[in-house]
Amino acid sequence: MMTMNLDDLLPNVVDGQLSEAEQLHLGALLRDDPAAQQKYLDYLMLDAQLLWEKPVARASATRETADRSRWFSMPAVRWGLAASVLLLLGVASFFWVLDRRTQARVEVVDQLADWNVAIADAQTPDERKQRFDERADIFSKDVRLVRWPAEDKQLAQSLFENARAMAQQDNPLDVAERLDGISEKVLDWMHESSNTANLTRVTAMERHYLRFTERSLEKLQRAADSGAPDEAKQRRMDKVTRHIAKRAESRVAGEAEKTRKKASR
Amino acid sequence: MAVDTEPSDSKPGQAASEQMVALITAAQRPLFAYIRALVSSWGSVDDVLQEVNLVLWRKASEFDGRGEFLSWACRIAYLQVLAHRKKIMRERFVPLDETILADLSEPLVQRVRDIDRRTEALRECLKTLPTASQRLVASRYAEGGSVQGAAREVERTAESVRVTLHRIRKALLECTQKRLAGATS
Repeated sequence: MMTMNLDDLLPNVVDGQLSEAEQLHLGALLRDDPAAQQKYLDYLMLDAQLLWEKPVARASATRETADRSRWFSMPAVRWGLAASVLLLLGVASFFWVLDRRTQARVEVVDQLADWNVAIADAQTPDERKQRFDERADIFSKDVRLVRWPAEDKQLAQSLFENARAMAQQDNPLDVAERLDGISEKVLDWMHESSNTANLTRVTAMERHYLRFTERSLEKLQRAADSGAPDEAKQRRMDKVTRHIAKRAESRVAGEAEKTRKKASR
Repeated sequence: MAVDTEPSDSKPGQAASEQMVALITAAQRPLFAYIRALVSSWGSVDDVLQEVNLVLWRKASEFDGRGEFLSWACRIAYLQVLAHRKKIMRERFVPLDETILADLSEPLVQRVRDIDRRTEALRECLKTLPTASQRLVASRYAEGGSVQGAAREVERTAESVRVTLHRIRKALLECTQKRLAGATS
């Protein structure tokens, strides 16, 4: 164990898999060693950026469709453990099917959110359109075919429509307004689901909200940098900023408090 | 529990609140990276970030706008990391003591200040990865993603995927560092 170097430990650090002995060793390796500390920080920073960015793989639509359909029909591979436990308990597969559907919905909503971010981040109109086209058919089917609870369906539809609208826009202020609108929808979901969603889902939604808002602010900045705004443009920019401020004050802090109270119970 | 860094405790006035919200929101990505780098081997990033946001909001009126907001936010985040460490230590071992955390903190602030450039470089480097590597990264870093989940998707063992992901991260690091060096030279 003690022959392990920092390079051996880093993957386990970011995956939260360090044994106690490895943790002790990590502390010893980092103590008073600026080179090791630098290496550690570079690796952890990269991991943090990837966690925040949630990169979406470029893929041909054909391959993606094949993967997705295989995924939906996959026998007890992903869900095998949960299913076998339930079967052992004699609860039958009904709950397993429900569980699988719930997970499928969760994944689609997260992927739709990632897709919106990827489209917002595209540098050119062509890239934006390409990112939309790559996944539009798949997500369109998901939104129509997956059995959603009302609030999830509404959010999924909004995310899909938002992606479509952003793909057609080149003006940063238009995109900022779109992102502002979809941020509102995410917070609506959090508000409506606050009594039923678990902490992981609320945290995921909060992250989606922050990423949308962050992009909205970036686009506002870009709109401001593109030249002195006329009165109408200034009004639109102020409106988005006001929305963000109002939501943050009245809802995000409230949701965070509520979530923490729930978690501490 | 949130640690109050100063004696007073007041929310910003309406006039300043919009600016403060913009500052706090824009700081989320660097703060997440800052906290993740300090606590990932032993604590909860989300818990600390939530506490930091609440303290920033409560202390907003104390930020006079003359210093750099992110440095101020990182100082608050550092105190919250120490408070979180104290809490975790009641239950289990924490590998990084206060001396190591202090050593890591200063160069970390420099790195998170530069996060926009780093992110831009990372996005470009991700595009250069082979498709299979991109898929693995996307699967591991998706919301709720894990090495185990990524391994199931590609029908490989978790250990072999962990090794591959480590190689990909090292390649991304090398690529981003080259891009950043190129941009500054």
